[in-house]
Amino acid sequence: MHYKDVIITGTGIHSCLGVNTEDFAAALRGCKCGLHHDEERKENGYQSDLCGNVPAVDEECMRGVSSSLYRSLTDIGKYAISAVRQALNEANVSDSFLHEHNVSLIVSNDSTAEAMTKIANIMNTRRDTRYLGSDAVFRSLNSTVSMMLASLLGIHGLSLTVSAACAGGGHALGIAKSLLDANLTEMVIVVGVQEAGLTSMQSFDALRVFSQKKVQPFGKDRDGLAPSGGAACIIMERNFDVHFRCTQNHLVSRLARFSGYGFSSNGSNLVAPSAVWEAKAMYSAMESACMKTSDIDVVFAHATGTVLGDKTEESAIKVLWPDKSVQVVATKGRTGHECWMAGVSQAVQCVLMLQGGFLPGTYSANDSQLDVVTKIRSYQPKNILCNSFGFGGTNSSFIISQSK
Amino acid sequence: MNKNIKERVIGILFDMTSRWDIPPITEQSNLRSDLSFESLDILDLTLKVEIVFNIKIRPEEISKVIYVFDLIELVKSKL
Repeated sequence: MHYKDVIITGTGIHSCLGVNTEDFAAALRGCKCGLHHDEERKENGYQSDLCGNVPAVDEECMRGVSSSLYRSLTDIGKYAISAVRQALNEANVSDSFLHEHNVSLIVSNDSTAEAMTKIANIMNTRRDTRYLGSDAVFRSLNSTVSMMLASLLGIHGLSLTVSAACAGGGHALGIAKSLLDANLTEMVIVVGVQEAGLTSMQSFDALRVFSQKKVQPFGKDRDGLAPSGGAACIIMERNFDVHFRCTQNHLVSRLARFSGYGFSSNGSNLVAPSAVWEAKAMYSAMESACMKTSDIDVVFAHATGTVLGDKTEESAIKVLWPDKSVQVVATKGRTGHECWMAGVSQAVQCVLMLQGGFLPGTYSANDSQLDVVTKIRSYQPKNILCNSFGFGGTNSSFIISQSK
Repeated sequence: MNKNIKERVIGILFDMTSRWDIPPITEQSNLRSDLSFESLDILDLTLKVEIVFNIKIRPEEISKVIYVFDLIELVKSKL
């Protein structure tokens, strides 16, 4: 490994498949599905009641959060604290390190529906802004999680929120790598968050792209995605800084290497995907990592389970690997589509695959011409290329590799 | 009437601080040093007191409030 390599040293997750990486890995290895049918959604006008069953965060996790910060927290803020604390703990990052070094924070988020709905309801009934209290503004800004985390952690580097729909998590990771490559910061805490409550997905549901019964990435009878939420976190550092921390008697594990990032925009339709531009993002990620298609042994597909989206991604993958030479993993049938959090969640899952030597299955039939992993495979991945695509035709691809 | 104002003010403070680790609230409690109020908490307290007592409190008035007693007296002066 080169001293400039970008290394992943910590991971954390709070999702419908587990509220820590151990539980999440066990669920991925098994055939557990985190989706359920939510009666409340049906009663409130949703076309589909299938969604992720995301547990609430244990209040014990909020220890040390000041009163004013606590009042300004929404569910996504609590999910984020849960995931970030796990990741910092795994990376062995102390509070004093966060305060004394150039540590940055990038959050992928694209909605604060819960807070905005509350504001609208209060203003419609009371018509007096005093009823909103002092916390409404901090709960409703799209940067709510990055501002809250930066204050809570006491960091002094860059702090910002990236909004790029379902590609946001991938772009957040890519921007983090760019900052580290440019030597602008020592460590980046990358977080993806997604609201899981009733108000968060009403407008998405109106598009009628949510499945009624089961999410089947690349499956024959697939009929759409299922929304889910939570938070995921990745700690990224330069190899040189990891080495330096090790010399300071910190026990730091090089979990994986973040080797490449690529992006593209379709530049045409608001919702229709483009195989050409998706392939371009994947190719750019490989170029960035100085890799060829033969170096990639696993593609972690975006594959949400929609008819057109999966078909287009299949075409894009076939452009680069026409001969089924790459194994394709797709887990959104079990995690749901975690939207703004998805890219970071996929990065966490990549690390779990690399560490555990397995590829999780879709547990649905494969109707594509790709080598889709339908049942768990015992396999030690080397370089996993991950896709995250979003509305507006924004595409992100990144590569996570073995650290050795 | 005055006793009722004191109880209602302390009730607001109690609701705001129910999950905080602070000593019992009395008229002698210092909002910042005893009850750990930060600037946003003071603002939130002002909004709540305004709504409950249907009064208006100017920033320069609330800035002079140090103890719970001061707040009670401020409310009394406006009713």
